[in-house]
Formats: sequence, structure tokens, C-alpha cells
Amino acid sequence: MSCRIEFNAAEAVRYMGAKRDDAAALLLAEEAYFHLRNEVQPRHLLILSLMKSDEEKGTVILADGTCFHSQSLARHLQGCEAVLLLAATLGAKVDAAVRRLSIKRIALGAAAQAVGAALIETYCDKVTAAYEKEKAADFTLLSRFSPGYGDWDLTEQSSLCRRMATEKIGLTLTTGLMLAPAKSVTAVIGLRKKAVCEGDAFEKQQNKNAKGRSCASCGKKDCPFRI
Amino acid sequence: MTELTEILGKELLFFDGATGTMLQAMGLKPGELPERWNLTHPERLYEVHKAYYDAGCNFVKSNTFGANRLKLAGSGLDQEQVIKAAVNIAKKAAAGRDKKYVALNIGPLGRLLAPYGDLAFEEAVDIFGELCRLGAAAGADCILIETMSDIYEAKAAILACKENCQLPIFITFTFDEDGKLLTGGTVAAAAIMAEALGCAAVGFNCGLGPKQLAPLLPQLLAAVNIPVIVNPNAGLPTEKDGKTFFAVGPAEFASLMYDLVAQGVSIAGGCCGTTPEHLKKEIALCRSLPAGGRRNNHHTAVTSHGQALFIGPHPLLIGERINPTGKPRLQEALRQKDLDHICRIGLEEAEQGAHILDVNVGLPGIDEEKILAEAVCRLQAVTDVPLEIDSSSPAALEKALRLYNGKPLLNSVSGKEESLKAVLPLAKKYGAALVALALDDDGIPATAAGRIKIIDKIIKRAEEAGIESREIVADPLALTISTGTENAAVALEVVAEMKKRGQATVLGISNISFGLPAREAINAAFFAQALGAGLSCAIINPGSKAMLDAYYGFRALKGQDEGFKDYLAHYAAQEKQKEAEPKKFATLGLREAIEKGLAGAAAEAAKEALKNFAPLELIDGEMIPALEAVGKGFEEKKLFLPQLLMSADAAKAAFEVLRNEVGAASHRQGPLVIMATVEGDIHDIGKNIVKALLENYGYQVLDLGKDVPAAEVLAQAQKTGAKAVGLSALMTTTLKAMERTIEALHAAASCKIVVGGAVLTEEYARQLRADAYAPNAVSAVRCINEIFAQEKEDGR
Repeated sequence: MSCRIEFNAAEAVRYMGAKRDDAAALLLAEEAYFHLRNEVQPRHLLILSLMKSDEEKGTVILADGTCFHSQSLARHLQGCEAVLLLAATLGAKVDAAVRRLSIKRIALGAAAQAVGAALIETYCDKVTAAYEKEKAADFTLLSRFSPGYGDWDLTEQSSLCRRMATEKIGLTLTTGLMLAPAKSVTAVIGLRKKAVCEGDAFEKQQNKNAKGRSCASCGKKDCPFRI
Repeated sequence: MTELTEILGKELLFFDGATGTMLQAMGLKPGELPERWNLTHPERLYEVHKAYYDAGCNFVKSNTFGANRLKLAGSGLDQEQVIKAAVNIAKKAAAGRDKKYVALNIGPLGRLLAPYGDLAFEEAVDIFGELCRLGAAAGADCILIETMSDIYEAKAAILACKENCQLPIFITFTFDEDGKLLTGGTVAAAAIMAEALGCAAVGFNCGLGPKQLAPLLPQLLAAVNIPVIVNPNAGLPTEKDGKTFFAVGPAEFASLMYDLVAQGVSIAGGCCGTTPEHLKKEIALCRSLPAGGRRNNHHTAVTSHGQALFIGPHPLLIGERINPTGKPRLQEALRQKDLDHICRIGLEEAEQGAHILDVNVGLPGIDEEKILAEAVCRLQAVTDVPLEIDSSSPAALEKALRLYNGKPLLNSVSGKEESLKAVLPLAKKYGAALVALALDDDGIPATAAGRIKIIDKIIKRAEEAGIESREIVADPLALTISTGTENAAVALEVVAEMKKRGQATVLGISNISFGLPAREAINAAFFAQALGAGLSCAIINPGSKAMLDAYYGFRALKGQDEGFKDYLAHYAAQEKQKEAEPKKFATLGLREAIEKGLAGAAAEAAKEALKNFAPLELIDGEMIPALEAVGKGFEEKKLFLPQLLMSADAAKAAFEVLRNEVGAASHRQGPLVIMATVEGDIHDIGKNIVKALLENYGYQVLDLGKDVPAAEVLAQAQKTGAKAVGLSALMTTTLKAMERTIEALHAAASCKIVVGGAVLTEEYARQLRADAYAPNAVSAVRCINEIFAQEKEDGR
């Protein structure tokens, strides 16, 4: 269960709101990582489900009847027949460590916050990539899409968590629909059959949505972390 | 005594297997509440229960795992009806049979308790209590709290059961293969707390199969004496075509269970994936084995949410610094409710090597009951070092013991009648190890024999109150040698006698030198002697080099430190620290050190500057201009958040020097600002950053924390008359709570409100009727500065 997560220091520096070549920020990030690395208890769930999306109605329906209401999500999943539901968390001890470091030095606390964000992102990438390689070689996995993105209302976080029974990995929701522990992610990942012939126009258009940090496909134009 | 408690641990008993697996096979849909079937398909449940009883199981679990008001909310189901039906169906299946019992099944609430989530401890107790009352009234024979993955939630559930019924309480936790709970606790930490709180049996369920549990079982058997339960899954789950399967079949399961039971298990059953067939085979194979029964571990232990600590095998250090007596800076912090300061001291002590932290906040004029509980909650949110809860007020003790996340050390009970009557029931109810002071209504006896007599009396009274003697940590009391040179010898004699009896001991070492000069020399020598006499724990300042020298030196000499591992680690760390310490920054002024974000250099520079300048001159002439310069650089995007915060840390380090060197009185008390993250929101890093900056500008910040209801913000604003309130919210879902808070403040308090947080914009802030919007920490400070400048203007 204790899977080592690669630490992407450059990402952490970016989340800290510093420039990539900021040496002081990099040092802080590395110090914070040193304190966090033994607190991480990464766990995840990946659940495959058939799916039907209807962009016009703005609905995405899973095989068991769970329905999500979002035009952005339906558009994002265009051309997919199935989705992977992802839930991942670094565990509660990371939250305690961030609090601990914030009390000692606020700069270190903020760095730990950023390191935690970088770690959970890397972890999600890693488990998704492993799944793709082992079980979905014929598919292209789209980028992660989470409640709160585009017009997908955060309140649907609860149906997503219930569908996955995220309690099993210690991931719960607060009354304000926030994920607890804080360093956690839930998302829907579209699975699209790889195109038979290269150069398909639909394929090209859809590639915009494909994996990686597709800031371009996100509607939040004023995001401070937009690349 | 009921038949069940009579045979528990004497006869090998069997729990049932999975209920969910069986109901799914009968058509329960994914996502459907299993509890609904108590009303819609009672005959199906009866069938399941009967099959398990027929297989030979002694217990079936009522179908009430999720029958709490959180999980039933919105289902349209009536909780009382659901629970009553569940227990009745099981009772019907048990009727007329010998040694068949119904266990009221209680599962987790599905929401994390604070500080990880937003569910308050007492709310959890209340929710569990409701379930327990209904189950007991319906006629359950015992309670099974199961699938617990958080020690704090387990404590809430056990307390709720104790407070709402008399039934025997069984509890089983779910661990991963590393032997850790989802929230990080170990097998020993979970089990020891459960035993101390009075559970009749403790064990494992779910998560793992019998094979994976095998290495964890010895840890459990060695940690506690109460009977042990093992209810594993039928192996680890595997997925096929989107469905979950458990691969271990009945025969293999039974044979694996046999090996576990033979190690000393008293109750065996199954969990996910097990069927009546699994249990039938398991029972047939194991029936000939004796029940493991109770064991005879004689250790004294304390625990936190993360770890268990055994008192005795090696001497332990208890950090004494969280105690305001004679410490003006800590007194100031307590009066201002600056609990971060207490956490900082605790974290420092832990880093210096303290194994346990003593927490004492007794100070005239403060609400000790409230502050002690808050201090305990804040400390346990940042460290898993076990705490010693130290107070002379039984009310303060009770609240703190209740909210403590684990099994604490309680400091203290004495031989005084009043103390025995007030404290022993608290230690029993909340499951604490207990420091016993060798004094009674006649004072402190002069002789060792007199003190031993008192300790004996306390142990006897504790046993009468249901507390085992191993839970007592005897404190012979170190009286200063300045009033009698025999005082050291008396204390040491008691320690040696207790050691002989296997009774744990503790001493407040520094008391020995009270009234003498160069106290550390005496303290260290006495400490070494006490360790030699067999002392189990010493209350000391872990920042004292002399004491740590004595400690690590003694353990190396005594052969308690294999390969000198701790000794070498301790001195290597000291060397490293020396290297890391700032060189003399003779050329770096205070202003420059803060601008560069060098905390060590800033502290040094502040010390140096204090020789010639008054604190206020330094604040106005060096520190504030430095912070202004950094803030300006941040706003002009010439420097970024890390530099801003490093400067804040450097300024803070310099402020601490001013406070410590010159005393609290000469530190300027700026106006009060209340800060809070609104209700429902548990992300508080942004608020904490603003708080750090505001404090550097001299503001007094009353930090209400995160997830703060509007009413609490309002009450504090009214009580303190604060002119400025800062609110933060991260997500769209908590903006409503922010709006409510602003509304409440506008209606009934006279303060200006500054808001900030990821989702907010200038426009949102206006809609919410906030007085100012701060897109970042520097602008938050500017907004607050403007509010108070305006106040001043208006006041003229």
C-alpha cells in the first residue's frame, strides 16, 4: 500500500506561486518534502463504468444509474463510452504535518501545502498511467475532470464519493462538501477508443482534451496556476 | 453478570460472517441502504441470520452498521423503526437456542472527525449514543463497534456506548497490511485505548484476510489483556468486470483461521466475502481449540492517535515547559488565547526528545476548563506525542480527558480523600494512566516508608474503583535538598522500592534544587541517580543540555541503548544544529535580515540592536519598514510568496527576541483583529498566512480557527469589541456561510469585515456585503491598516 510517490519539486514551486528558477522556494519545497515524505499514506480507488453523455441535456449517466449534471463534463466526455472514476488521498497525517509546519514557520507551512498538492497530482498521474498500461491499452485516457470544474456543481461531489464508497480509503466529505483529508482528489476520466486511422479530424479535436494538464480546456481563465 | 460475560474468554465463541455480501447475492442493489431491508425484506435478513446461527455462530450482527442519523438522512427511514426491526429479526433467529447472541452492529459515521474533517467529537458521541440507546432498548445482548479506522471516532463510539447502556462493548478495527489505520494509528495504540476505556474485547475486522492479519495478531495479543476478536475478509478483494470478489474459499479460510485462533483468539468470525459455509467450516475446524482468554501483560502504557508508548522498559522524558508558572511569555500567550505558542513549545520539546508532553495551563483569571481542553485539541492536531494532562481542577481534567485522542497520562491524584474521590472516577471512565502523588491530608511524609504507604493506599483505592495497579505511575515527590539534605535519598528509596515491585514511577526532577544556585548541576546529578534507582519517567526541560547529557549518558552506560544508537543520534543532531546555527551576522542589520528572510540572523540582529535601542524604536525604525519593503516588492511582483513568508518568519523570530529579552510589558499591544475560516471550510493556510503577517505588524490576532459558525464569530466580536474581522473561504459551497457570518456581524456588531479566499472576487465580496476584499495576504494587511487608520481619523 505504501507507494512511493515521486516528488516533482518544480511543480511544488509553481504551486507556491514562485518563479520556476526561484532557489529559495526550491529549498523550502525540499525542506517541506523532507518533513512530509514519511507522513504520506497514499490510497486510491479506480472504478470503471460504462457511461452515456448527452451534451445537450448536460447529463452523464453511469451504468448503475448515477447521473451527473454538467454540460462541461458531458462535452469533455464526448466520444467516450466508459469512464474511470478516481478517488485518491495522501491521508490524514499529511494534513497534521502541514499544520505542524505552519505553526513552526509559516513559509514552511505554505511550502508543505504546495508539496502536498504536487504529491497528490503525481500520485493520481501514476495510478492512472499504471491502469492505462495494464488494463486500458486500447483506450486514450482523457484528462481528469472534477466536481467544481466548468459548470459541474460541487454538490455532485457527494454522489461521486458515494458511488465510489470513498470511505474505504478514508476519504470523506465535510458538510461544506470539501474532501477530508485535504490532500485528496476525486475525478472522472473519460476512456476513448484509440482511433483506427491516424489523422482523424475528430481525433485531433479530441486530443485537446487528452491527458496532461490541459489548462487550455479549462474554463477558469483567471486561474493563477494557468500555464 | 450475564451468561455472555461469564463465558467470554473462557469458551471459544464465533461471530457470523458477511451480511452485505449475502444481501447483495439476494438482490440488494449497489448504493441501496442495506438497513432499508430491515423493513422491506425482514424475511431475507432472518434467513441470513438463521444460516449463520445454524452454521454454529454464537453472535450475529444486527443489520444496523449504517443506522446512524448521518447515513439515514434523506432516506425517509425512521431510525428507531430500522434499529428495532434489525434487532428483532436477529432475536427471532436466535430464539430458543443456547448461547446465541445479538450484537448491535455500529459502523463508522462516514465523516472524519475534526481536526481532519469537520465533525465535532461531541456530535459524534451524540450520534453514536442515539444508535446505542435504540439498540439496547430493542434488546441487543452486546455491542459490536466495527470497521473503525480512526482512533478518535472509536473513542467517541465507546464513550457513547458507556454513557447510554450497560451492554458489553466489543470493538474491531480495520488496519492495512502495514498495521496502520487509515488515520495512521498503530495496532497497539488502538487496542490499548479500547481496553483502557473498558471494552470487553478488541480485535480486527475487514480490510485484510486471515493471511494478512497473521503478522498483526501478535502485536494485538501483546498490547492488551482483554479477549481478542478476529473477523477477517475472505482474502483480499480482486476485481473482475467491475465487480469485487474475495478469493479465499471456505476450506482455505477455515484452515487459515485455525492458525490465528490457535495463537490466542477468543472470538472468531468473518467479514466481507465470507458466507455461512465459510463459518461452518471454520467452526468445525476450530471448535476443539480453547479460547485464548485473557493474557497477563503487566505494562503501563499511554497512547496518542498515532502511537503507543510503554512506560517502564526504558526511562522516558516528559517535557515540562507547557506550564505557565514563572513564565511571563507563556502567561501572556494564554491570556491572549494564543494557542499556537503552546503548540510551538510542545513541538520544540518533542524535537528535543520529549516522549510525553505535560500540559498545564493553570493561571489565575483564565478559564482553565476551556483553555486546557483547547490546548489538548490543538496539540494533538499537530503531534502524535502522547500528552500528560495536568490540572488541579477536576472539571478541567474531565473535559480534557474526554477530548484527548487516545489514552493519556493524568497528572494527578494524591492520597487526599477529596482527590481520590474526584480523580479516580475520571481515570476509570476516560481510561487514563494515573500519576499518584505520595501526599495525603496530613501532607508529605518525611520518610520513604510513609510515602510508600500513601502510594499503596492510592493503588488499593484505584483497584476498588476498577483501575488496575499497572495504570498507576507513582510520584515519590522530589523535595528540595535546600530544606533537608535527606530529601533526595527519600525520593530515591521510594523509586527503588517501586522498581522492585514493578510499579512505574515519575519524578519532577528540578524540584530537588529549588532555592539553590546553579541548579542544573544538582538536577543532572539527581536525575542520573534517579535513573540508577530505576525511575520510569522524568519531568524535565528537554531543552536542558545537562539533563539530556545525563539521560543519554546513563542509558549508554546501563546498556539500555543498543549500539549507542540513541546516544550517537542525539549528539550527531546537536553537531548538525551547531553547523546550521547562523554565524554571527555582525554586518547584517535587523532590517536587512528581515528583508532577506533570514530568521536566525534576524534574531541575532535583534539581540544586538537591543543593546542600544528600545524595542519600539526597533519595531518602528527597522522591522515595519522591512516588512513594508517586502510587501511592496510582493505587490509589484518583484518577489513572491515564499520570500514574503520567509520575511514574516524572520520578523517573527525578531519579535520573539524582543518579547523574551525585554519582557512582555514593553511589547506594544496593537489593536485586536479576529480571524476565522468560515463554517464548513477546513482549509486554513490562507488565514494562517494573513495572521502571521498581521502579528508582525503588531496586531493582536484572535484566531478562531477553521470551520467557525457565524454565531461564534459574532459572539467573539461582541465580547471583545474588535473593530476588524477577517474571514476566509475556499470554495463556492462555503460562500453561503461567509454571507451568513457577514450578515450576523453587520446586524449585531460594530466591526469592519475583510474577506479573502480562492473563490472570492471583488464583485463577490461586494455582493456578500463585506467592507473590503483582499486578493492576497499583503492586501489583507493593507485593508486592516486602513480600517484602523480610519478609526483613528473618526475618533479625532
